[in-house]
Amino acid sequence: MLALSIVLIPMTAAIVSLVLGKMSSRRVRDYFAVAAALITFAVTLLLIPGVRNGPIHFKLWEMFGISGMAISVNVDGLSLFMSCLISFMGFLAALYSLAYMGKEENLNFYYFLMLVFIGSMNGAVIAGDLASFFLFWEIMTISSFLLVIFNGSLEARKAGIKYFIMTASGSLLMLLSIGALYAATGTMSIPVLISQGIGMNSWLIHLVLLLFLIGLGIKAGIVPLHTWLPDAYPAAPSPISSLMSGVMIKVGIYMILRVLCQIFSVTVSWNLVVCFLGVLTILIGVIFAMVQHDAKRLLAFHSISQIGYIILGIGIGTTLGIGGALFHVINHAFFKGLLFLCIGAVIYRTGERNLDKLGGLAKVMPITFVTCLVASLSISGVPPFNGFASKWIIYQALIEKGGFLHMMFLAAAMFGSALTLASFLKLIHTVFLGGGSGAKVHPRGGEVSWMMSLPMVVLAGLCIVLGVFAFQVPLKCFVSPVLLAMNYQPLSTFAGFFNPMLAAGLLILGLAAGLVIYLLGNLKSARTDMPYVGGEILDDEVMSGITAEHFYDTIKEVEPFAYLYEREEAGRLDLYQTTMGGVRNTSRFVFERIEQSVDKLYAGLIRAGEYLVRELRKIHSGILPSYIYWVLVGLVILVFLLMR
Amino acid sequence: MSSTNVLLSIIIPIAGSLSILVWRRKQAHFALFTAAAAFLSVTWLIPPAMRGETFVSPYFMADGLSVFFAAISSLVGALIVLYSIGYMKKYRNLTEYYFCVTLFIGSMLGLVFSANLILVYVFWEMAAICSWRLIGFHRGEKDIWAANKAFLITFLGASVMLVGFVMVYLDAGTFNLAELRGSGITGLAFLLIFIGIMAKSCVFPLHTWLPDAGIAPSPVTALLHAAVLVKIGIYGYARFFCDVFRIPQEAGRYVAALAITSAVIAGCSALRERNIKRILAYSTISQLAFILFGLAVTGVIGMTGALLFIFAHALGKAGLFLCAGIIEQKTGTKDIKQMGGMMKVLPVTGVASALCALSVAGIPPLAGFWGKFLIIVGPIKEHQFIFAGLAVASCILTLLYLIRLFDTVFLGDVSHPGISERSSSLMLISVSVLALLSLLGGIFAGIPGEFVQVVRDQIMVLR
Repeated sequence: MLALSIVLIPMTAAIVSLVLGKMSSRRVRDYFAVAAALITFAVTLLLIPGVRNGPIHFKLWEMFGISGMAISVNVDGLSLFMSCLISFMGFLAALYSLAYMGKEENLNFYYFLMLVFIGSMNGAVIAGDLASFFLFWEIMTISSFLLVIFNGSLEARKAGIKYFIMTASGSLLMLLSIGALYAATGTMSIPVLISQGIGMNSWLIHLVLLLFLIGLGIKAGIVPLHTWLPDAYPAAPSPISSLMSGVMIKVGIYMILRVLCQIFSVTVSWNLVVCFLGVLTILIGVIFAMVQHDAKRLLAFHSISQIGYIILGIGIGTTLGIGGALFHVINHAFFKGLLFLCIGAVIYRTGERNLDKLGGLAKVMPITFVTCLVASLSISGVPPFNGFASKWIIYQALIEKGGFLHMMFLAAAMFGSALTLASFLKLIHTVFLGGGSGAKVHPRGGEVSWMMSLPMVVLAGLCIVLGVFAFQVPLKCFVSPVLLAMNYQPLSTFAGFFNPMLAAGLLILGLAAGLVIYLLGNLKSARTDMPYVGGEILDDEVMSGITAEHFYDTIKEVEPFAYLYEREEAGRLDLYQTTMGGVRNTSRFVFERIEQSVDKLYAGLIRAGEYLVRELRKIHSGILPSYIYWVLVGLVILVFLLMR
Repeated sequence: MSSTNVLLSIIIPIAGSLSILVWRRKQAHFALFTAAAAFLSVTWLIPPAMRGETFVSPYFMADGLSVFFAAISSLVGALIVLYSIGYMKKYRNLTEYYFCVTLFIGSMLGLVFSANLILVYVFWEMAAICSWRLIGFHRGEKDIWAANKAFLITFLGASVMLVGFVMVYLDAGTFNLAELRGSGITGLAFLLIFIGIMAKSCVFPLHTWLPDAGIAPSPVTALLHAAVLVKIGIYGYARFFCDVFRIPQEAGRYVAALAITSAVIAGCSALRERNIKRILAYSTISQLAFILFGLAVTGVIGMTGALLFIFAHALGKAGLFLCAGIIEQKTGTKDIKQMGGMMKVLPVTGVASALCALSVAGIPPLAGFWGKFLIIVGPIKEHQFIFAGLAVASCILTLLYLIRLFDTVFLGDVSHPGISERSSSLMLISVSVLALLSLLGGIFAGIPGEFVQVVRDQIMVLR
């Protein structure tokens, strides 16, 4: 029953907060929502001791008396791992919303949806049955869709509809696979399916797995199914982008783990395909991230790219690979959640998310700057932050696997990491440093309030702790138990890891040495001068220094990137637009050629009937002599017939 | 289950409709009273039906399936009558309107409780005549044309069906459904009866009358689409070909193929239309075909799904049409391109139609989800993968056109800033109840689910 309450508490609280918002003051409702999120997190933690003794499994309702379909709960290591992450990030996002969303209208609906969103994500990961998983998965989709279109602007609606149509169609395709598994095994129960295992012995099973991957991959943002992400994240309010990127897409990853590593016993070629998809996702994501001018769009592309690492880890399929992927799931939730919150803080103060118009915020918003820097270094895989630790494990898994293909994957993944760093240098530079140009937006007020900065500081602290004490805390306490629960070996049995604490110590030493040199030398009094542009006087923007923004624009001209960018801008790489074009043409064809021609057929029938009647009417001319002739003719025929 | 209860639920609406002709003063309230009484008398039948009791006599009968349909139709019908009181105020000729509406409900109840093919035919045609008067209610040239079209197509279908009934009689020597139960049916008789069902339930290519019938007043369209008329065909299929006759295996396969084609074609058409009522009409065609598909795939799962979706679709589609009626009356247009931002000026209508649309689209936790889920899983269980794929395609189309409709009508810039929801409380109550039932029916799916299980088990007993 305790397991169920991590779904029921937020769901009930959602309804209560809707009522509270109508009846009492805004503040009561806001604090109530945050408290509900906190209680959910606490209850999730309470579940840990129980699950240590073995998975919790119980059935709630046999669906309509159909055998093998039920609403049931199954909490094992993996589910609990995910739901801890969900509840924690949910609480931080709710706390952050207190201040961030303060100025918005319609907040009753916002908190309602947010709590439903948290509850449904928890529901999806503790579902013990594919039917109940699908149920919560769809609730998750609809509640996040409504959150994306929350502000009601045209941009948000377009992005939201794209998101909804893509993911909902994907889940319907996945439903086909769920049905096929049910048809093959007669059950939808996840533990039963895991213990039975599905062999890859017919082409149909391959198709089933492919459909699963499509449905889940759309949600997780695997290239080429990722195109909703860069539109939806910028449109959503920042705490929601942080939740979606931090945990929602991980629910997709969760199910991919279940399907690929537990339910199906996949073949080696499938592993390679998944690895390839992972690498493709890393590279495409980061290549597009580099040239973005919109801060949140940039982060969205990085989400795609980081998901690539997780997929790569899952694709490798060894203990190290899965462990790295799981670790990266935590890390990505923290640093990407943090990045969205930081950019949210910038938007909150400046109302601007266009990188061209931001600059020099480091002095005004020091906490935001430092936390954002930590997150940026972490996502770029710089030691000793957590991003490095998990990426390294994935690299090590690739090395351990060996072989030409895996080495190529390794090179590509490392290249992706370097590009990530390049991209985040640009973000840090344009938003927090640099500046001085006339076109910049000036922030209203200084640092954001504690309600917003507390979640940021907590997450930044976690990024450091999880990196420096990678083996002592996250790998030992979170990842290894989950691996054990999934029937893999714990990570501690592997030799040859790097030592993060030593690395951190050396880094601190190096930084200290640098600081000493900086303080002793006369670098402080650096001389500045006008840039030399061949003696010409150019416009102010150029003379005051070239921004990082412009610098990165040159990448757009490098082949083969140039080709990709051009295609992307024309919308030709977007699977959604192509498919929708196809649907539009098909529906026009069906409507005009089939539907309307059937209607015309009926009209034609009616016209034919009318014609017949008109012709027959001519006989009834009303002229007496002609009637007499008719009578005569009739008589003659009668006589002829009778005489015969 | 006693005979008086069953007879009462047929007699109340029919007698009520006749008395409207006599006491013309308070027709609206009288009609509401009649519809509510009909619903109550049907409710009386639900507990025994849930216990699995049945009632059989030479002319009338009641079992789970008939009580299930009767309960849905009379509930939605009563809510539509409540709505009509607000909506129809400004029109003339209301005596005829309320007479036809209550008689319409009465003929539906009569049909589901008929134990005899001839009685089924009689009520079938009674419904057609009522719909003919109601569709052409405004008496304009186009109205009359649409009414004639609807009447002629359904009438032609029904007369073909009557020939089918006669063939059944020639084979089995009886018209009584209870005696026919379990007997086989020839392919030709099946085809003839099925044509009647196609015409009534608007299966492609006999469906074109339904979008044109959208010209009728909104409560009438809601009645046609959700409560009474098109559900008759579905009831007919469930009663004849799932319950009574044993049809050849291939026949079910053909019906499923036709139904799912019809669903896809109607879905595509809904995506092209701009008239709000025509979009909803195509949606009905698509969803009904989807239900028929669920019934035709002949598994426990598909059957359960179809029955659940009948319940969800009746509530959801009635709600959508009634909301469309409110919008149409307030803005004076049916073109969705001329509407926008209705959520801000008509919030209750907006929320209600959002819930109803989500239910029809099959999004949890609303009622439509369970039906759609099972109807998609059903054919896979029967190893009909291509059908399942097409079913998914039709679901995606449903999502597309409903989201397009909702987006253009309710979101964006406000197109008619002057309007408000005041002075239409009866209409609002009615749509809110429908939306709320869609929501509760989904969250507590076990309650309708239990009834559906009883009905399904009664039907599946012979298989």
